[in-house]
Amino acid sequence: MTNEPIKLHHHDESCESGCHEDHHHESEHHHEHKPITVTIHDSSIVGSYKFNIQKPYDEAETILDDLLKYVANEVIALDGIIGHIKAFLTSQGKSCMISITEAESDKHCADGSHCSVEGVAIVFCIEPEQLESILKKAFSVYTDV
Amino acid sequence: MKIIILGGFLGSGKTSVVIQLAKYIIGDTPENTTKVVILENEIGEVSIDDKVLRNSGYEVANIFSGCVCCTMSGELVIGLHNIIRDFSPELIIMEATGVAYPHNIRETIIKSMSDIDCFVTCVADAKRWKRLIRPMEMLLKDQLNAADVILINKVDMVDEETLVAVEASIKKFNDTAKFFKISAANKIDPTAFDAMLGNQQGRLTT
Repeated sequence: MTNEPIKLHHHDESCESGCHEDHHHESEHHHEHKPITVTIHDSSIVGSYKFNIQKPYDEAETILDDLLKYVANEVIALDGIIGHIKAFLTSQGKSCMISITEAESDKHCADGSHCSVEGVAIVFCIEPEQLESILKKAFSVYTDV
Repeated sequence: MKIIILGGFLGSGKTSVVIQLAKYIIGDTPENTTKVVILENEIGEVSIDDKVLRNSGYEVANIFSGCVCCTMSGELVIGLHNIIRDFSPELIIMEATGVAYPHNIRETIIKSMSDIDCFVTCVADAKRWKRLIRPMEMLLKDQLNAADVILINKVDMVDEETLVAVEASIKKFNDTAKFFKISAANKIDPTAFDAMLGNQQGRLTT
């Protein structure tokens, strides 16, 4: 996260809700080392999040998919506009030991027991505090915030 | 050396286009990988698209936490110089943030690197166009109006009537660009890539 102030310029989406008139400066929403942060870039509200899901990959994928759909529905329910809501899921701890003593190999594999999530939700026409609240509520089990 | 600036609103399918474009240019020859470097710009405190692209096997540089069309134009120039120094690529694909104005990026590049050919392609989301055009009109207009090529994406997800309306709406902002209707989830017609590269010879020569 840059600490340089965001320069105001001619980005000028004509969001008709008038919801951006009192937006704070991006740096005012900057919270280092928190699992969820919300910043402003012109009229876009940018939520960033990182957390772990203590589940194997397949299960975590389903959980994350549901969480992001929840966030999307909450933004829509507030008449917000979704730019995109993205997350990158990686499995950690998956391992496999392969040994060969004759022609055939012997495998002892274990699924990873936890996954990492890094994601961004960029939305328009809701307040930063509203997005922060949605993200905190959605990810509360995994972020402890 | 060329730079293609790929712009377009959030979720329009820019990264999917980048992956196919890079694959088209590089072909099936792994040693050509460094001929193309992808420069990703993302807002937010975490980057996502660069991970996707790296997993696809491409050289990726990243500028995140801000938009190079405005607050981080200095980082853009430094980033480009570093890429040229480290890789000497024949092509840099610069994927802009979904809220960037590609013409601002082009101006920044031309100011500091006047000897580089710089082309702008914009991706438009046919599926969400009607939903976005009213609240996002100024942004969409300014993203599209300086594009050399416009890719109308997700055409497989709209009916013909909608597609005609979307194209007409986009042409109000830019009727001089070369238009291609694509579905980036499927194989993109190579003629679109040739147009993006600004020549008839899409693949880079060795």
